[in-house]
Amino acid sequence: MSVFNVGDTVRVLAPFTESLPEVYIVTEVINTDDDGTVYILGDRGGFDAVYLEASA
Amino acid sequence: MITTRDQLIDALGNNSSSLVIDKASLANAAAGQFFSLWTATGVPGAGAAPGAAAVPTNATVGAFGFANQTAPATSYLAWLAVQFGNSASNLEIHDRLAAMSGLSGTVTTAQGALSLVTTNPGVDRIGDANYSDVQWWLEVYTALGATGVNATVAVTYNDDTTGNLAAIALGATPRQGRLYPLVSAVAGIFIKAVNSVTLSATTGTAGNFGITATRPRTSVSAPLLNKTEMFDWALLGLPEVPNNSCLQMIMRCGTTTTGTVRGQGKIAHG
Repeated sequence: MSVFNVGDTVRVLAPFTESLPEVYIVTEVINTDDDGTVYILGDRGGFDAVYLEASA
Repeated sequence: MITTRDQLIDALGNNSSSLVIDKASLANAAAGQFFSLWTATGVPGAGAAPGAAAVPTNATVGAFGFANQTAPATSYLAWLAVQFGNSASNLEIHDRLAAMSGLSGTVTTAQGALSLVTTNPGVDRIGDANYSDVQWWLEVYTALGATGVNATVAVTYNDDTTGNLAAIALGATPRQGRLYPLVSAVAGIFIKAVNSVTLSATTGTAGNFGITATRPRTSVSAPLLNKTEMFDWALLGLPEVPNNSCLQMIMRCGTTTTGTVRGQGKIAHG
Protein backbone atom coordinates (compact mmCIF):
# COMPACT_ATOMS: atom_id res chain seq x y z
CA MET A 1 0.00 0.00 0.00
CA SER A 2 1.37 3.37 -0.99
CA VAL A 3 1.38 6.57 0.98
CA PHE A 4 0.59 9.75 -0.84
CA ASN A 5 1.11 13.40 -0.06
CA VAL A 6 -0.74 16.54 -0.98
CA GLY A 7 0.17 17.46 -4.53
CA ASP A 8 0.86 13.89 -5.68
CA THR A 9 -0.80 12.80 -8.92
CA VAL A 10 -2.65 9.50 -8.79
CA ARG A 11 -4.84 7.17 -10.79
CA VAL A 12 -7.93 5.55 -9.31
CA LEU A 13 -8.08 1.74 -9.31
CA ALA A 14 -10.97 -0.70 -9.84
CA PRO A 15 -13.85 -0.73 -9.15
CA PHE A 16 -13.79 3.07 -9.43
CA THR A 17 -11.76 3.32 -12.64
CA GLU A 18 -14.72 3.41 -15.01
CA SER A 19 -16.17 6.48 -13.34
CA LEU A 20 -12.86 8.19 -12.56
CA PRO A 21 -10.49 7.38 -15.43
CA GLU A 22 -8.29 10.50 -15.32
CA VAL A 23 -5.21 11.53 -13.37
CA TYR A 24 -6.08 13.37 -10.17
CA ILE A 25 -4.16 15.43 -7.61
CA VAL A 26 -4.24 14.66 -3.90
CA THR A 27 -5.58 17.86 -2.37
CA GLU A 28 -5.82 16.81 1.27
CA VAL A 29 -4.93 13.93 3.55
CA ILE A 30 -7.38 13.21 6.36
CA ASN A 31 -7.01 10.98 9.39
CA THR A 32 -10.50 9.85 10.28
CA ASP A 33 -12.06 9.09 13.66
CA ASP A 34 -11.68 5.36 13.04
CA ASP A 35 -7.92 5.74 12.48
CA GLY A 36 -8.22 5.56 8.73
CA THR A 37 -6.27 7.67 6.26
CA VAL A 38 -8.25 9.14 3.40
CA TYR A 39 -6.77 10.88 0.39
CA ILE A 40 -9.03 13.62 -0.96
CA LEU A 41 -8.99 14.17 -4.71
CA GLY A 42 -10.61 17.59 -4.76
CA ASP A 43 -14.33 17.40 -5.48
CA ARG A 44 -13.94 13.74 -6.48
CA GLY A 45 -14.09 12.81 -2.82
CA GLY A 46 -12.00 10.59 -0.59
CA PHE A 47 -10.14 7.39 -1.41
CA ASP A 48 -8.33 4.76 0.56
CA ALA A 49 -4.76 4.05 -0.53
CA VAL A 50 -5.81 0.61 -1.79
CA TYR A 51 -7.80 2.29 -4.56
CA LEU A 52 -5.00 4.63 -5.67
CA GLU A 53 -1.72 4.25 -7.52
CA ALA A 54 0.91 6.84 -8.29
CA SER A 55 0.61 8.31 -11.76
CA ALA A 56 3.71 7.87 -13.90
CA MET B 1 -61.09 -5.31 -10.80
CA ILE B 2 -62.43 -1.77 -11.08
CA THR B 3 -63.11 -0.90 -14.71
CA THR B 4 -65.95 1.62 -14.58
CA ARG B 5 -66.58 4.95 -12.89
CA ASP B 6 -69.60 3.48 -11.09
CA GLN B 7 -67.46 0.72 -9.59
CA LEU B 8 -64.92 3.30 -8.48
CA ILE B 9 -67.54 5.49 -6.79
CA ASP B 10 -69.01 2.46 -5.06
CA ALA B 11 -65.57 1.35 -3.87
CA LEU B 12 -64.65 4.80 -2.55
CA GLY B 13 -67.91 5.07 -0.66
CA ASN B 14 -68.44 1.52 0.48
CA ASN B 15 -65.34 -0.61 0.15
CA SER B 16 -62.07 1.11 0.93
CA SER B 17 -59.21 1.05 3.41
CA SER B 18 -58.39 4.37 5.05
CA LEU B 19 -54.88 5.75 5.16
CA VAL B 20 -53.72 8.10 7.90
CA ILE B 21 -50.55 10.16 7.47
CA ASP B 22 -48.83 12.04 10.29
CA LYS B 23 -45.08 11.93 9.78
CA ALA B 24 -42.46 13.99 11.59
CA SER B 25 -39.84 15.89 9.67
CA LEU B 26 -36.35 14.56 9.05
CA ALA B 27 -33.54 17.09 9.26
CA ASN B 28 -30.26 17.66 7.43
CA ALA B 29 -31.66 17.36 3.93
CA ALA B 30 -30.94 19.54 0.92
CA ALA B 31 -33.05 20.61 -2.01
CA GLY B 32 -33.15 17.97 -4.69
CA GLN B 33 -32.24 15.09 -2.43
CA PHE B 34 -34.45 12.02 -1.99
CA PHE B 35 -35.32 11.15 1.61
CA SER B 36 -37.14 8.05 2.80
CA LEU B 37 -39.79 8.65 5.44
CA TRP B 38 -39.58 4.97 6.41
CA THR B 39 -37.83 5.73 9.71
CA ALA B 40 -39.61 9.02 10.43
CA THR B 41 -41.73 8.86 13.56
CA GLY B 42 -45.50 9.22 13.51
CA VAL B 43 -48.17 7.43 11.48
CA PRO B 44 -47.47 4.99 9.93
CA GLY B 45 -45.07 4.14 12.73
CA ALA B 46 -41.34 4.42 12.27
CA GLY B 47 -40.02 1.49 10.26
CA ALA B 48 -36.90 -0.30 11.41
CA ALA B 49 -33.66 -0.98 9.62
CA PRO B 50 -34.28 -4.43 8.19
CA GLY B 51 -30.93 -6.09 8.86
CA ALA B 52 -30.84 -9.21 6.70
CA ALA B 53 -32.54 -9.06 3.31
CA ALA B 54 -36.29 -9.19 3.75
CA VAL B 55 -39.57 -8.56 1.97
CA PRO B 56 -41.66 -6.08 3.96
CA THR B 57 -45.44 -6.15 3.61
CA ASN B 58 -48.49 -4.12 4.54
CA ALA B 59 -48.20 -5.73 7.99
CA THR B 60 -44.65 -4.45 8.56
CA VAL B 61 -44.30 -1.53 10.97
CA GLY B 62 -43.70 1.52 8.80
CA ALA B 63 -46.12 0.51 6.05
CA PHE B 64 -49.64 1.73 5.42
CA GLY B 65 -52.05 -0.98 6.47
CA PHE B 66 -54.87 -2.03 4.17
CA ALA B 67 -57.09 -5.05 3.60
CA ASN B 68 -55.74 -7.64 1.20
CA GLN B 69 -58.29 -8.74 -1.39
CA THR B 70 -59.34 -12.08 -2.84
CA ALA B 71 -58.92 -12.18 -6.62
CA PRO B 72 -60.38 -10.97 -8.85
CA ALA B 73 -60.96 -8.10 -6.39
CA THR B 74 -58.10 -5.62 -6.56
CA SER B 75 -56.91 -2.58 -4.60
CA TYR B 76 -56.14 0.88 -5.97
CA LEU B 77 -54.80 4.08 -4.46
CA ALA B 78 -57.77 6.26 -5.27
CA TRP B 79 -57.82 9.40 -3.12
CA LEU B 80 -55.31 11.42 -1.11
CA ALA B 81 -55.52 14.66 0.89
CA VAL B 82 -52.18 15.83 2.21
CA GLN B 83 -50.70 18.87 3.95
CA PHE B 84 -46.99 19.59 4.13
CA GLY B 85 -44.91 21.61 6.59
CA ASN B 86 -42.70 22.90 3.77
CA SER B 87 -43.56 24.69 0.58
CA ALA B 88 -42.61 23.02 -2.69
CA SER B 89 -42.96 19.53 -1.27
CA ASN B 90 -42.80 16.57 -3.60
CA LEU B 91 -44.10 13.31 -2.18
CA GLU B 92 -43.85 9.91 -3.81
CA ILE B 93 -45.54 6.73 -2.63
CA HIS B 94 -43.62 3.55 -3.35
CA ASP B 95 -44.13 -0.13 -2.68
CA ARG B 96 -41.10 -1.15 -0.63
CA LEU B 97 -40.31 -4.44 -2.35
CA ALA B 98 -37.22 -5.61 -0.50
CA ALA B 99 -34.51 -4.16 1.69
CA MET B 100 -31.42 -5.00 3.67
CA SER B 101 -29.22 -2.96 6.00
CA GLY B 102 -26.20 -3.29 8.25
CA LEU B 103 -23.64 -1.92 5.81
CA SER B 104 -20.86 0.11 7.38
CA GLY B 105 -19.45 3.49 6.48
CA THR B 106 -16.01 2.37 7.60
CA VAL B 107 -15.69 -0.76 5.45
CA THR B 108 -13.72 -0.28 2.23
CA THR B 109 -14.14 -3.78 0.83
CA ALA B 110 -17.20 -5.05 -1.02
CA GLN B 111 -20.21 -5.49 1.28
CA GLY B 112 -23.92 -6.20 1.04
CA ALA B 113 -26.21 -7.68 -1.56
CA LEU B 114 -29.90 -7.71 -2.39
CA SER B 115 -31.57 -9.73 -5.15
CA LEU B 116 -35.19 -9.57 -6.21
CA VAL B 117 -34.75 -13.11 -7.51
CA THR B 118 -34.00 -14.58 -4.11
CA THR B 119 -35.73 -11.93 -1.98
CA ASN B 120 -38.82 -11.93 -4.12
CA PRO B 121 -41.99 -10.04 -3.19
CA GLY B 122 -43.92 -11.64 -6.06
CA VAL B 123 -44.46 -10.81 -9.70
CA ASP B 124 -47.53 -8.69 -9.03
CA ARG B 125 -45.55 -6.34 -6.80
CA ILE B 126 -42.42 -6.23 -9.00
CA GLY B 127 -44.40 -5.29 -12.10
CA ASP B 128 -42.84 -5.77 -15.52
CA ALA B 129 -40.89 -9.01 -15.76
CA ASN B 130 -37.82 -7.12 -16.98
CA TYR B 131 -37.61 -5.21 -13.66
CA SER B 132 -38.13 -1.89 -15.43
CA ASP B 133 -40.70 -0.84 -12.81
CA VAL B 134 -38.21 -1.21 -9.96
CA GLN B 135 -36.25 1.67 -8.45
CA TRP B 136 -33.10 0.77 -6.51
CA TRP B 137 -31.56 2.86 -3.73
CA LEU B 138 -28.85 3.07 -1.13
CA GLU B 139 -30.75 3.99 2.04
CA VAL B 140 -29.16 5.50 5.15
CA TYR B 141 -30.57 4.45 8.53
CA THR B 142 -27.91 5.96 10.82
CA ALA B 143 -25.67 8.79 9.70
CA LEU B 144 -22.30 7.91 8.19
CA GLY B 145 -19.10 9.87 8.73
CA ALA B 146 -17.98 13.31 7.66
CA THR B 147 -15.53 12.27 4.98
CA GLY B 148 -17.15 12.37 1.58
CA VAL B 149 -16.47 9.15 -0.29
CA ASN B 150 -17.68 7.37 -3.41
CA ALA B 151 -19.69 4.18 -3.63
CA THR B 152 -19.43 1.77 -6.51
CA VAL B 153 -22.36 -0.61 -6.81
CA ALA B 154 -21.99 -3.92 -8.66
CA VAL B 155 -25.24 -5.21 -10.16
CA THR B 156 -26.81 -7.97 -12.20
CA TYR B 157 -29.14 -6.84 -14.97
CA ASN B 158 -32.29 -8.51 -16.24
CA ASP B 159 -30.35 -10.08 -19.13
CA ASP B 160 -27.98 -11.66 -16.56
CA THR B 161 -25.05 -9.45 -17.53
CA THR B 162 -23.19 -7.78 -14.70
CA GLY B 163 -21.45 -4.46 -14.25
CA ASN B 164 -20.71 -1.50 -12.04
CA LEU B 165 -22.98 1.51 -11.87
CA ALA B 166 -21.47 4.97 -12.15
CA ALA B 167 -19.75 5.85 -8.89
CA ILE B 168 -22.02 7.66 -6.45
CA ALA B 169 -20.59 10.56 -4.46
CA LEU B 170 -22.08 10.09 -0.99
CA GLY B 171 -20.95 13.51 0.24
CA ALA B 172 -20.15 14.42 3.83
CA THR B 173 -22.24 12.85 6.59
CA PRO B 174 -25.07 11.09 4.78
CA ARG B 175 -28.00 11.43 7.16
CA GLN B 176 -30.83 9.22 8.37
CA GLY B 177 -33.35 8.80 5.58
CA ARG B 178 -31.09 9.80 2.72
CA LEU B 179 -31.70 7.85 -0.45
CA TYR B 180 -29.23 7.58 -3.30
CA PRO B 181 -30.84 6.37 -6.54
CA LEU B 182 -29.12 3.45 -8.26
CA VAL B 183 -29.53 3.82 -12.01
CA SER B 184 -28.70 1.27 -14.69
CA ALA B 185 -25.45 2.10 -16.44
CA VAL B 186 -26.67 0.48 -19.66
CA ALA B 187 -29.62 1.83 -21.60
CA GLY B 188 -32.47 -0.60 -22.10
CA ILE B 189 -31.60 -3.13 -19.40
CA PHE B 190 -32.63 -3.01 -15.79
CA ILE B 191 -31.23 -3.98 -12.40
CA LYS B 192 -32.56 -7.18 -10.84
CA ALA B 193 -29.91 -7.59 -8.12
CA VAL B 194 -27.26 -5.59 -6.34
CA ASN B 195 -24.24 -7.81 -5.77
CA SER B 196 -22.08 -5.52 -3.64
CA VAL B 197 -21.38 -1.98 -2.54
CA THR B 198 -17.79 -0.76 -2.25
CA LEU B 199 -16.84 2.51 -0.57
CA SER B 200 -13.74 4.26 -1.84
CA ALA B 201 -12.60 5.05 1.71
CA THR B 202 -13.85 5.07 5.26
CA THR B 203 -16.30 7.86 6.02
CA GLY B 204 -14.95 7.84 9.60
CA THR B 205 -18.17 6.53 11.18
CA ALA B 206 -19.80 3.14 10.71
CA GLY B 207 -23.39 4.34 10.79
CA ASN B 208 -25.83 2.01 9.09
CA PHE B 209 -26.96 1.92 5.50
CA GLY B 210 -28.41 -0.59 3.13
CA ILE B 211 -29.90 -1.48 -0.20
CA THR B 212 -33.59 -0.98 -0.95
CA ALA B 213 -35.76 -1.84 -3.94
CA THR B 214 -39.06 -0.02 -4.42
CA ARG B 215 -41.73 0.32 -7.06
CA PRO B 216 -43.07 3.85 -7.53
CA ARG B 217 -46.87 3.93 -7.32
CA THR B 218 -47.76 7.62 -7.43
CA SER B 219 -46.35 11.10 -6.95
CA VAL B 220 -47.91 14.34 -5.74
CA SER B 221 -46.66 17.86 -5.19
CA ALA B 222 -47.84 20.84 -3.16
CA PRO B 223 -46.69 24.41 -3.78
CA LEU B 224 -47.57 25.85 -0.36
CA LEU B 225 -46.99 24.78 3.23
CA ASN B 226 -49.96 24.16 5.51
CA LYS B 227 -52.48 24.12 2.69
CA THR B 228 -54.20 20.80 2.15
CA GLU B 229 -53.99 19.54 -1.40
CA MET B 230 -56.41 16.90 -2.63
CA PHE B 231 -55.69 14.34 -5.31
CA ASP B 232 -58.41 12.16 -6.81
CA TRP B 233 -58.03 8.85 -8.59
CA ALA B 234 -57.26 10.48 -11.92
CA LEU B 235 -54.53 12.72 -10.52
CA LEU B 236 -53.02 9.78 -8.69
CA GLY B 237 -53.11 7.63 -11.82
CA LEU B 238 -55.24 5.02 -10.01
CA PRO B 239 -52.23 2.81 -9.32
CA GLU B 240 -52.99 -0.79 -8.49
CA VAL B 241 -51.90 -1.84 -5.01
CA PRO B 242 -51.22 -5.60 -5.05
CA ASN B 243 -51.88 -7.62 -1.92
CA ASN B 244 -49.15 -7.24 0.71
CA SER B 245 -47.74 -4.06 -0.86
CA CYS B 246 -45.56 -2.20 1.62
CA LEU B 247 -46.54 1.36 0.80
CA GLN B 248 -44.09 3.95 2.07
CA MET B 249 -43.47 7.64 1.45
CA ILE B 250 -40.41 9.18 -0.17
CA MET B 251 -39.81 12.92 -0.23
CA ARG B 252 -38.00 14.76 -2.99
CA CYS B 253 -36.85 17.58 -0.77
CA GLY B 254 -37.32 21.22 -1.66
CA THR B 255 -35.35 22.53 1.30
CA THR B 256 -33.22 21.46 4.29
CA THR B 257 -35.82 19.24 5.94
CA THR B 258 -38.44 16.81 4.73
CA GLY B 259 -41.06 18.78 6.63
CA THR B 260 -44.03 17.32 8.40
CA VAL B 261 -46.53 15.39 6.31
CA ARG B 262 -50.14 15.02 7.44
CA GLY B 263 -53.16 13.77 5.62
CA GLN B 264 -55.46 10.92 4.77
CA GLY B 265 -56.27 8.71 1.84
CA LYS B 266 -58.29 5.81 0.57
CA ILE B 267 -57.34 2.54 -1.05
CA ALA B 268 -60.38 1.45 -3.03
CA HIS B 269 -61.19 -2.24 -3.33
CA GLY B 270 -63.22 -3.88 -6.02
